[in-house]
Amino acid sequence: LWASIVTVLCNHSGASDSFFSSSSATHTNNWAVLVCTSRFWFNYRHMANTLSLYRTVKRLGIPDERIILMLADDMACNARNKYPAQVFNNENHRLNLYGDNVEVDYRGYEVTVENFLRVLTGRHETAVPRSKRLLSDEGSHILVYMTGHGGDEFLKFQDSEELQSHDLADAVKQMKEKKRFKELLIMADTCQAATLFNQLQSPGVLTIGSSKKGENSYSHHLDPDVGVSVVDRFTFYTLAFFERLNIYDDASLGSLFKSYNPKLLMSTAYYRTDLYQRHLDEVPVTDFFGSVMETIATDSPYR
Amino acid sequence: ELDAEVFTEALLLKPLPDGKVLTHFHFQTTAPPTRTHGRHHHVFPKSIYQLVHKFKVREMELSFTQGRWNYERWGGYDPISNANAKPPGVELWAEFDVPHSQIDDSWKNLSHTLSGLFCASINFLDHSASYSAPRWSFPSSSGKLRYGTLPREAVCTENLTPWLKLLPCRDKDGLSSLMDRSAIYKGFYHSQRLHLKSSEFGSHETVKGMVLEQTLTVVLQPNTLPGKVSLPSFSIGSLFGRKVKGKCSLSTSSNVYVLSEFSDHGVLMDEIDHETPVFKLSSRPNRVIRETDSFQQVGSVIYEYTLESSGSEPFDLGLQWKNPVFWSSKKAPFHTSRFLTGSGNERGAIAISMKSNGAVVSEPGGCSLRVGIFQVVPWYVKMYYHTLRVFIDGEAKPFEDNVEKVSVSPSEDKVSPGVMEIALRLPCSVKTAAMTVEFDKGFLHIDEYPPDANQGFDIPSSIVHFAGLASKMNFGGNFSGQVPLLAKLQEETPVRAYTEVLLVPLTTPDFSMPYNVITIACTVFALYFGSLLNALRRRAGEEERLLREKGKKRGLLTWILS
Repeated sequence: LWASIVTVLCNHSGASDSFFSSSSATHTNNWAVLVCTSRFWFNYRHMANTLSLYRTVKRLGIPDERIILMLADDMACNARNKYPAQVFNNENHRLNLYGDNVEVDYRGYEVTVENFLRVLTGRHETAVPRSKRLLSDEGSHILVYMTGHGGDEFLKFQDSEELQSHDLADAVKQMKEKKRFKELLIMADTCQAATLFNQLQSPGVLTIGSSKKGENSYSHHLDPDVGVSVVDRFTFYTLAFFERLNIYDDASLGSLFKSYNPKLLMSTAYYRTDLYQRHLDEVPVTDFFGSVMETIATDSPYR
Repeated sequence: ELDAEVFTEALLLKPLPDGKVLTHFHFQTTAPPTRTHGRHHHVFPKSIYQLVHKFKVREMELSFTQGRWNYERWGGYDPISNANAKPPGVELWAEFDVPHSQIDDSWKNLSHTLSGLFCASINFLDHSASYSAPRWSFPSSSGKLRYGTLPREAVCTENLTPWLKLLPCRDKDGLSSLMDRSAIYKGFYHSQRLHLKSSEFGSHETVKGMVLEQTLTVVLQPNTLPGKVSLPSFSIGSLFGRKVKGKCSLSTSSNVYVLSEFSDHGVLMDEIDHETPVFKLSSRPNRVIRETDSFQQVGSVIYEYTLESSGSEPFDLGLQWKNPVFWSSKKAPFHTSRFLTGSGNERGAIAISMKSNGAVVSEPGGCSLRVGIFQVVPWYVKMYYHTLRVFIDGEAKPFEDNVEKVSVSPSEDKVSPGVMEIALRLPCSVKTAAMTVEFDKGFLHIDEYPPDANQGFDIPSSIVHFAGLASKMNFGGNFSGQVPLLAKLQEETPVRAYTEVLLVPLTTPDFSMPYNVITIACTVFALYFGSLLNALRRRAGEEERLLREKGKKRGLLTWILS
């Protein structure tokens, strides 16, 4: 009798272990879904935020085929842009974020809550081409970055609709059921960003928002030449962290999350680790923000 | 005839009368038929090959344009402007080699595939309300052609990137390495175009196998020296900020051309002509090709420069004006423009006006010009085609006098747009002609408004083509066949012009209405319940009674304590 009770208890703890371990699959590929949800010229900084992340993620190794970039408006070739085909995130204009080889998958009016959820869950119409689909599998680490205007438990899309925290949690739950990710890092740079993740319950998800409930996220500085604010504080300091890195560095996610100074951000960057099993100091940032493959050299071409 | 894949590249520079420079990149890739050559290609892009085979495309043209082609200053009657002046936004037309019942499905799937391939929202053309089937405005009359356009589509680096990836040398070598993005998008007009012809699934008169032609046309303003010169000198380096590194090693021919529209007054570096030189080119051309049309007073001259393989020094070509000359480019018979009339949010009218450019000489026997107009109007602008009126030289004329044939497909709400194709016959001596049609503005469902609905809604450009007129250049001799750009210039190109895109403001609802309704409703409820509770619970004079009791109580306590 006691033996059976003990075995039952052991089995139960074993089950809870498998609940928390993301899956038995090995990490094989990295994906990035970068979304800018604001339109109009005065939201230039949201576009610059997203493009800064795009540039970082590309620089650290994720190819265009595994990046889904959604930009709700065209800033680079906008008639109001004094520097055509150039987007800056700093008033020193040192970096042209748009570059020569940018590929935008969802553009303009296509950036809607419906398309965003379709990308996450993979439920598209048959005609949708491969470059617009998130073709991740159970070995994928996915970075989802969203920026725009938001509030308590919602994110505004293009001034006409909203993504609620329930919708996001539901989409992530579907992704988990369909084994579309091994680990997921969701970053949001909006006002009251951390509230967007209140309803999440799926294991293997790590989230960070630029501000807590009741706090606003602020822009960093105004570029008097371009005429609008060019970057938000949270993204600015994220970039400051990444610009020091290259593909060979093994800085950890813990060091990234600890690098945010609430005084400089003027808000608290709040992150949730209760759904994430690994210790943040052991996770290299290139697990999500780059794509570093372990290569094994073999002598013979075929085995 | 051809048994191997061929890739050629060419760049044409043409100074324009108002001091700007037209730069026209032309890339052509041809592949032999699959029957003889097989499915593996080393130069022809695989994505295009698969697209042709999956959708059985016979001919397709896709263009991304920003800016408006200035027909008055830059010309409208030469092969370059007739083929490369395109409406703003995205324009797509395609003809398929499938049975009629499958054409619409093929079109929808093609639009989705192209949107993924070129990073644009071409997938919005899959809805039946955004494309149309023109009957005689395009050279093909098989009924298997579909046409759609998105006037408001932005064109930026993300559309150029995949377009360049179709070229064998990408943007790393050859003429495509000149394409500095900020120089291109700073231009007054830029248009990238892809034209595909294939005979894989049906016979084609002009093509065996597949021909992919990619062109990029940019009108740039060279940097003016201080002192405001009306015709600034320019060079490839000053226009693009870079020089040509060399030719793409996979191209069979790689040339740079300079086209001057006036007769040969240009002078080369070491020659001294007996006439005063108009401009000077910085290096001697490999070949000079003259247009041999004796009817025209001015003939064009093309200076050809052949590029050597990479390794030699970078190639730069400069044109310096010595004696400024004023000329005008050849214009189409009519200058067409389109505008809206009327005011208010209920109704209006569209007017197309044509002003004669004085180019056509009227013959004694009585000549007439045939002008065809193709216009597609979205369903929410409801056209009344029975109000179509034609005005010749300011006077209204009866319908039958000037209208040769009309094909009208009235719009159906949310299903199909209003399509009008009309062929007018105008006397050659006409000075102005105009055509007006009235419309009513419709209402959209709250979900159908775009996020920036207060900007207005676009009516796409209409196409005006001059039947029977075609522009071509005659070089005489044996210049065709070797260089596709020269062959294209000698081909008969139908003369057509695109009118402006019209912006129609529609009545938009107050999008903050749901919030307002909730606020007002809650306020009304609050007032209702507040007053109801007050009425039920409050007694008249209760406050005074309470105060009196309190006062009495205190009196009693103080009396006891004292």
